[in-house]
Amino acid sequence: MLIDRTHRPWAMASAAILALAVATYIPYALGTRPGGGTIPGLAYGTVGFAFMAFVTLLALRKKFPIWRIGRTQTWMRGHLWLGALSLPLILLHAGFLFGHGLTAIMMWLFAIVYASGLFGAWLQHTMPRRLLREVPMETIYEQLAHVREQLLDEADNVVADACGKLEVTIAVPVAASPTGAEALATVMRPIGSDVDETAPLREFYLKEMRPFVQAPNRPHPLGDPVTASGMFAKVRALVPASLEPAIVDLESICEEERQLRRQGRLHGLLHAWLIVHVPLSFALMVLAVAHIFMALRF
Amino acid sequence: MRVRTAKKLAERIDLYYFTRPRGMRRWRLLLSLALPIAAVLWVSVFAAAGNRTTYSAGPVSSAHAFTEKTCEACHSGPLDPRTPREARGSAPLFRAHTSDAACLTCHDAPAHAANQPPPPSCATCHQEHRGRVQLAKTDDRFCVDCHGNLKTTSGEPKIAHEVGRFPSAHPEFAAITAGAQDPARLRFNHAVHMKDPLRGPAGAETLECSTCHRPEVIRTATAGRPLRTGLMAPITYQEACARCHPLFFDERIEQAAPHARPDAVHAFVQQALAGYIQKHPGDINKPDAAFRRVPLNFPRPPEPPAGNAQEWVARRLVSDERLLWNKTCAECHETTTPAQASQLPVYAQTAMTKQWMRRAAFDHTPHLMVKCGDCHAARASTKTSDVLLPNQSVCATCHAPAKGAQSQCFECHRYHDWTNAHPVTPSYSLTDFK
Repeated sequence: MLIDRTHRPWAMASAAILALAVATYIPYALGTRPGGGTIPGLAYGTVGFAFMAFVTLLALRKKFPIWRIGRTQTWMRGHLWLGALSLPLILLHAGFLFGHGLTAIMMWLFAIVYASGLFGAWLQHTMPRRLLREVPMETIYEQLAHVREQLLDEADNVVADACGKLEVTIAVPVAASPTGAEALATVMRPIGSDVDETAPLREFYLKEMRPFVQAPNRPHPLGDPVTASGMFAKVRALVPASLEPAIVDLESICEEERQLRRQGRLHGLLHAWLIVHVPLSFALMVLAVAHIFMALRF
Repeated sequence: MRVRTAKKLAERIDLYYFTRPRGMRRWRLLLSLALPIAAVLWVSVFAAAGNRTTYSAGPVSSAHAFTEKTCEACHSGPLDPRTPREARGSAPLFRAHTSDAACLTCHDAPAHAANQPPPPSCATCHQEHRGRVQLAKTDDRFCVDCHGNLKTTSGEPKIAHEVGRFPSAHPEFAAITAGAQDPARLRFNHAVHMKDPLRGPAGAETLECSTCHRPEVIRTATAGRPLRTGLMAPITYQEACARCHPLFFDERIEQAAPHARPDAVHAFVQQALAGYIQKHPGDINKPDAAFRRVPLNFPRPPEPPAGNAQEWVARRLVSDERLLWNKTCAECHETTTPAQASQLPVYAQTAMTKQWMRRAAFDHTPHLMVKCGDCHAARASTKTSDVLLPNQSVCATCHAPAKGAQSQCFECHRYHDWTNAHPVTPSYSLTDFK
């Protein structure tokens, strides 16, 4: 979520609430020993927990997007700003002490949830623009594997259309070459007079490009655009000019694969924090309910 | 040539992809279920085991450490059979807050003052679950809450109405406020006694404060060694004065009179004279002779020799008691009824103050490393009525928030009036705290 001018009312309201909370805390802390059991302490705790509950409800809101309970964007802003307020309020509730036992565990959980939330907010603020800039061929993240399969089919078809069947006749395995495209040019020579002129392209595709598209998690020379450009240049030198359209298509597919890989990395960065943030938030809420129950009882 | 059109891109999409969480979504979902369930299990296991230390707000004080795992000892709910009937009241069944009744099960807590407004609960001042601290060391604000603007249920307060934290908002000690005097009925001049040197029984000597003033030590049945009360022991003639000021009364008699009531002194002198003349019958006809021990500024008129031992004793008794009553005893003691011809004098009670601060407890023991004169201006004191108690600015030399030594109320004051203490009937057995 982009934090822009539209957040100003939320930011000002949050700052006002925080200022009010701090302003009331100072005389309270000077006059008595702050703690969760005092009237002001309970007030801070109640408001802080209400904010925590609200920000947790965002998950429910997302599960049921058609419910007419406010725009998701408003919920997100509330999640961001009320979530930001919740930790200061809980610290005021606890008198800036982490406590003991359950309360200490909760405070550490809260610290992790809060820190991951701040990190996530920063990522959500910066990463979408970076994705837009660096991954113009972005697709739905969950569809990456599906799209990749289609890219592979498309590349197979391009090579098959250009070279015929995808069996190779070259004996020397290109994968054994130590330096990629440079070695490829020297090794992939026709074996006899009846040699297939499209074989270098086919060989390059089968030994280099296909594994690149098939195994997105492995590092590959084609993952670097400069190296890839060099490799394609070598292939061009070995095949007739009639195969140029096929090579261009393959280059385009490689570029799309590189973007999918980049999207996967950026998306991982953009959403990995949620693996920490969301489950710990739920666990924190469970423990908070237990804490409230026991605190009110004892 | 490869062309990316919207239609082609749309055809790539699996429309049901969102129904199958994969990758991070799947992990997020799994962890979002697992961690809360783990939290519930964790809480449930402790609850099932009856262990509530996890919910404890913190370790209890040193004195209550044995109840660390027996929450019910203090947190007695209405349903707990050990909760005193009067403490059950109308409290909600759910709640198990601490009550004064729970504290009073083990502790006596005499009231602070008879005319104080309703006091706060025990837990207001003695806050638990703050680690191994001493609960008696309460925060100043609990004292200042009331003493900052003192109210009583009847009559006017007899102490300062507005008292704050020491030293900035604390009133001067009552014993040294303007016009205050030492109430002792004794003639004593500190400045004279601290001159250097003094003539002592064995020659020139210099008196130190500790020559006369000693810490008070008591022996109790429970303590194996003598205990210091923190006060200075009352000055006694035998310990502090007799060495230099013996109560000699007659040049013929080596014994000094006892430091006792006049009738006892009278009996002693009479008996001593009778004993002397019995051993020295030849002295009956001897004229008086001044002796070095007897002060020479009380010359006796010449008298004819006594006729017999009784007359000799009677004459000597009048003479010796005149010396005692009017000079020796009067040097320190005031008479309320001067000696008449046939009556013994009556001396005022010395009324020496043992504890100057009636509402505070000062302990000399931790202050023994400081010279007495740094706090008590005794060298300049010439009158008994001088109050030699230091003022609070002297205390604040060390006892102030920024000076290191503690300056909290409990250092000197006690809330509970332990003169009204009552024995507590034990309610627990050792097995209750297993």
